Amino acid sequence: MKKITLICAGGFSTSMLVTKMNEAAAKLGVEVEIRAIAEGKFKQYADETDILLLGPQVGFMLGKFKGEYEPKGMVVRVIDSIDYGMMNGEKVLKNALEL
Amino acid sequence: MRRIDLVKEALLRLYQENNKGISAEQIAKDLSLLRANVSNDLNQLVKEGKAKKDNGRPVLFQPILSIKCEANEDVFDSIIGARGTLSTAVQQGKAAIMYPPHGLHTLIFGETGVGKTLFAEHMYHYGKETGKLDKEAPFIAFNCADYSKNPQLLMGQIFGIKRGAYTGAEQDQEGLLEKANGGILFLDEVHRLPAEGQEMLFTYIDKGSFKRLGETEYGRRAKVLIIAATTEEPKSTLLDTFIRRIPMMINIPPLKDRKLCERFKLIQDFFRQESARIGKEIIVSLNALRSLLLYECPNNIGQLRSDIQLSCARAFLDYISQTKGKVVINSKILPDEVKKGILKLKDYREEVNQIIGTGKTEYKFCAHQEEIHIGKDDQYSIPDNFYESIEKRIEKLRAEGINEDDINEIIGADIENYFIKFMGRFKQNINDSEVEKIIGKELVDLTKDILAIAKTRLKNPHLDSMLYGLAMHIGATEERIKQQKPIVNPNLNDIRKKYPKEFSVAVEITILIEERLKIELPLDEIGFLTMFFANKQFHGQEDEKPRNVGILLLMHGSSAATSIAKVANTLLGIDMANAIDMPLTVNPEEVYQEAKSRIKSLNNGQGVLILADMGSLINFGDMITKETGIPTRTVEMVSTPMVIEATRKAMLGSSLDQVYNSAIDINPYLGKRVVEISTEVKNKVRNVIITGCYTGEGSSVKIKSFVLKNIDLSNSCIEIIPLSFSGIQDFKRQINMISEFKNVVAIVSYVNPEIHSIPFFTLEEIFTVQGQKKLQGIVNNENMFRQISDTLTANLNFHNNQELVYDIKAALTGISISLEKELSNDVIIGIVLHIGCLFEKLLNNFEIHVRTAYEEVSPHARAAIKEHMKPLENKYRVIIPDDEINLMASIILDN
Repeated sequence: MKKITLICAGGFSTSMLVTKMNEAAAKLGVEVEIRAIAEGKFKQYADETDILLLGPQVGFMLGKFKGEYEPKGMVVRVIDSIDYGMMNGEKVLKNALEL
Repeated sequence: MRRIDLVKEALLRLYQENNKGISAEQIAKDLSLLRANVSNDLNQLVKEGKAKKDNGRPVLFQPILSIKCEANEDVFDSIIGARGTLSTAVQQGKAAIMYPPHGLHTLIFGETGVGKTLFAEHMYHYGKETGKLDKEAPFIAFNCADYSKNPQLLMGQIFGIKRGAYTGAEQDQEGLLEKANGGILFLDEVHRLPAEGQEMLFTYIDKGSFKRLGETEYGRRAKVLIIAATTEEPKSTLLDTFIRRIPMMINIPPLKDRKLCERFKLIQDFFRQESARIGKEIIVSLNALRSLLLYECPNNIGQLRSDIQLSCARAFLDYISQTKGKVVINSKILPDEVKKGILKLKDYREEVNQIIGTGKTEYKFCAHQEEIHIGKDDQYSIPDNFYESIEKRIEKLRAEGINEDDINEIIGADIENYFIKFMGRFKQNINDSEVEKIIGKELVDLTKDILAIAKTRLKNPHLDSMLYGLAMHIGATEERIKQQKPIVNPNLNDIRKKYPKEFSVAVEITILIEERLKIELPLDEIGFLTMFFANKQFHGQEDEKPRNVGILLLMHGSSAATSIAKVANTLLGIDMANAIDMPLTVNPEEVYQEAKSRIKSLNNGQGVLILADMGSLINFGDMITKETGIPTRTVEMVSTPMVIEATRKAMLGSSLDQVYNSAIDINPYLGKRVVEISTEVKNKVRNVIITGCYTGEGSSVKIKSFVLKNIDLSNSCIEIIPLSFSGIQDFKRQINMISEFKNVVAIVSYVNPEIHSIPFFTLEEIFTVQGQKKLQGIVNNENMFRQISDTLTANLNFHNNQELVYDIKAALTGISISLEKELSNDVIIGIVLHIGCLFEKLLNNFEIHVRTAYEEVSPHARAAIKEHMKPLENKYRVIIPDDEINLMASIILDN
């Protein structure tokens, strides 16, 4: 089971997206564990994460996270802002899993 | 005194009297000095910076007022003529106040309307200014004529009543004399006081003691300065006793004894006041000014003022009945007695010419600035009426080579506007002499006959309501035909086909009009008449019971609110606008109680719209709503057109919100929304692109069709609004007005209105592929935001969030400009969602966890973000925690 973590500035908007992604996962029948947390708290969840998705507003941190976690095998991406804006959980989930 | 000082003084005096530059010749004559010497001195004054001169022939000089000179002014200087024909009265008034120890009781004589009350008020303010009266000293005005039918009550009002003094006097009552203790009691029309009351007053004047009605002893004392006023001749027997007992006698001369230059200043003042009220500049023709200067005005300044107000009301009606134009006052518009003034011109020609000059054809009055003289062939020589403007526009459009279809679209829109604005739906029984005075009895009668015919023929009983609009229209037509100007109706054929029944009635009516007015009507006019009868507004839908929104005006000053309400009620022929005045001497709490009880009685379940000017009055609505539960909304900085429009809307049975919006719409520069508690869901946000061109060019419509052809607007909900404007400022104003209600995504025009928050495209740009791509990008972007807005609306758990995305975006634009930091779309989307979710959490009282500290954020950035988020905090009633501000700052700055 893939573990996906979404981070953004406060964790609010991503948590809304997480709900949408969970709905999509149920619909598609894929087993995933998805959580949303504030950027500052990511460290403690790093071991629980296979795929890390950044909210577009914290996209500037992509380099930092890639540098730190990609060597450990984590996939790090920024969520497409349009999918994010429209809370398109299905598309975000699909994109994440195809990675 | 040195000669140069004499010259300086004379320059100042003559300049104030004439209100324009003064030549050396005039001063030489005035001081009986040699012109060459005066000229020398004047030039010396210019060198010293105490005067300035212009380059005309003869050279005219103006004094430069030093600050010191202004500091010497007192409250009386604001009275026109204080240094002229009223100088004696002013000296006396000051003396009456200053006379030791407590001033002199005063009797002011003067005909109706010369300004006796105003003068007494100035004495009061002078007393406060000089410290003779306490800062908190009361000024109580009372008109003895108000109670002249009931002498008991009259005296009771002034001196107070002892319980049981007469049947019905159930409790002790304090009189005005007691209330005015330490200040001034102003008794207007004092000759109406009965003999007994006079005796009591004289006892007070002589001994300083008085008694309440029903008391036997003169055992009460008060320290009050009495200022009495009367319209009686000083010689009249009625006043005999007064004259013997009251030490100070002040005579205010009637208007006919005042200098013409003073009268001119009064006229200027009144026009400026009216201009402020209607929120428009007022243009007055030279002949109209001459008439106003010279006509016989038996009721003096009061009448001069109301005649000017009546003329302005009429001019304003002409103005709102046109789609564009100005508020113009010419001789035609003046009341009949005023028109006669021009007949006296031959006796006063020289003096009048000196005052208002001959080089200009018009004067222009604005609320807060000096009038600007307008030259003969100025751009402001505006089309006289509706027809003319149509004609001019058609001509211009044809000259531009625009095809007939486009012309029809442009003109059609104009005509539609004309009818919507002009006609409205007026209640019946507007046959009020006041309205007849404005329109003319003959026309009103004719229109009534016309409506009688139309009602039978069209079997429509609801046509009476258009009496007023139709009468105005026929008046304009008559005028035009008499001036032999053409009448053009480009839609004539369509109209005939579309409304055959109405058309045939119009033909019948034409015959009646031709007979009665002795004019010949062209076929095109029949088309216009048809439009009146075909207007849907007049068909059916009679409401069962009027459940109208109440209209209440609250304004500072002793008569401002009532007089505006009166104008609105008179013009609309109803009695719906209510008013409460708040004289500065009255305690706001009293006004509040009065407003509360009035609102209770006005509320028909539809709520009440409050139109207030400023200060505490603006908050009354919220407070009353809280207290009583009656819905209210408040418009601040009210103006006359707002009141007219709101009353008209209320009359039509519109909802409180509609009435409120209509009042705001009428003049968005004056009226500003007061943040209200009850935020109901507003219209869905609509995106617009504005295309613009100069008035009459018609190219904004062409630009619109070009944009429609070349930009894909499908699924975008974007509307294109073509605007025509007379200049950049006008363009800006219109855009700002639209921005109040719509989201302007782009502007395409020849002229850059330089509104930095809205992307602008020149015509050249929009004709290139890059330009079109850029605009398409903006459109797509807006589409995305609209979808984001839908997402948020659907997912956020709080009311009224439709506008949230746009509000946040606007705030971000502001922040981005303040911090000079460009934000990419990605970041904007992220932050919009972030703030949206944050607001939801805050509104639902979710705990916001304190996060790990971000690095120090610059105070400047924090302040900028706070400032731009403030309106959102107010609107959505949340408080954004400091942590969140820091977070936003770091996101914005790090990106």
